[in-house]
Amino acid sequence: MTPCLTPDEFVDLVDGTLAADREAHVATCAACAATAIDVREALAAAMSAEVPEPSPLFWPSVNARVQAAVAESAATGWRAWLRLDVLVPMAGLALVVLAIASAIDAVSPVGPSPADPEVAIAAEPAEVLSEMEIASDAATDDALAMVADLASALPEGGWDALGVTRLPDLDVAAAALTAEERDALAALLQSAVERPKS
Amino acid sequence: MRADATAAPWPLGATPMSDAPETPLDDAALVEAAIAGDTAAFDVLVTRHRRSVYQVCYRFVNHHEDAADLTQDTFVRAWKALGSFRGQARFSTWIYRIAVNVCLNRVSLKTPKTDAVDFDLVADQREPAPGAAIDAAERQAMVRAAVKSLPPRQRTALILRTYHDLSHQEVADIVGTSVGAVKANVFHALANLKKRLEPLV
Repeated sequence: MTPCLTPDEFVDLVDGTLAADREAHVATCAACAATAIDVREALAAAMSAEVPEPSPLFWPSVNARVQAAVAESAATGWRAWLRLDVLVPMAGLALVVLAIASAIDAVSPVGPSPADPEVAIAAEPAEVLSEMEIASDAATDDALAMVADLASALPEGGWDALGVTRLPDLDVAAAALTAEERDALAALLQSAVERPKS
Repeated sequence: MRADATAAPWPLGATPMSDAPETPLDDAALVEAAIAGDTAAFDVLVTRHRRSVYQVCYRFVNHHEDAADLTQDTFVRAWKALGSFRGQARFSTWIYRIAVNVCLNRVSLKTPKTDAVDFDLVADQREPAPGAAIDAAERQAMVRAAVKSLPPRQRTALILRTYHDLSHQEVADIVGTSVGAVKANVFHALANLKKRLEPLV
């Protein structure tokens, strides 16, 4: 008598790919025949259990959820910084930050406290103040407000000393940032302003 | 569709692998576009494969909300890993692999909620001939719960082979094992299923 079927062979049996001589064994072996029936019955039971069909609205929601998650990961990932529409204004913003930091080092700190926004804004040159008014229109944008606050903290003549007559497209840059990135930028700017003067 | 040409189809129908509007672009072209940053191309891939991925996830956790979360996780991971997709395997095989990994991670992290019915309650209501009187929906729910209760390797092999019309070789590629191991897992899954569904089968 030929040996009983192995587990692999029982699967081949229900697949219909078992060799004929091995299949013949099942006809002569009560144990293998019983196991074959069990396997077929279990398979039939398994196949009968369908996944409940979700609402038709569910499928578009899968796409929407994936799109949102992908957009979020793209916005927070390093790839976000490589986009031209972010890189160009961010480069301009970085120049302004560096310029602010240099100016704070170079210009005498004697005068009104930068921490007092009323005093600082009052001391701002008219042209720059106009830029800041634009920024303050976007008061809901914390990043712009923060940049405006810091810029307004420059001592009188600070913008002229820097040669800055027009701010880059800060709104474009700030709009492209996530909350986390804005926080990081705010921390950078704040540390530049608060850096001890040499 | 089947890589293993010698394998005969299972006796009953299986889940189609794609669920998508017809588009002239095949998966490989869409993947290429997605890697270049075309999120619309990736959206087509999601549409094409969302049903089969959801069904794999549902079979694993037997719970709609969890399956929906796992489906989302699968596609987000796929998006992040697109750069590593070299096209040696079909995208469908690749996305199944990610789905299985996501599901196995979830299974190892927690015991998810389930939509399953209570076996004892159903059995008690149907004395003295429980199997005969249970309606089709309850029976299916019991089978799904039994599948979910299988050990992870057996569950994976049974789900991919039985419900998604993948060949043993494809399943082996997805789970990173041999064809023999896949067949053994399918056999033991069916044997365990038979025991757990004894009143019904």
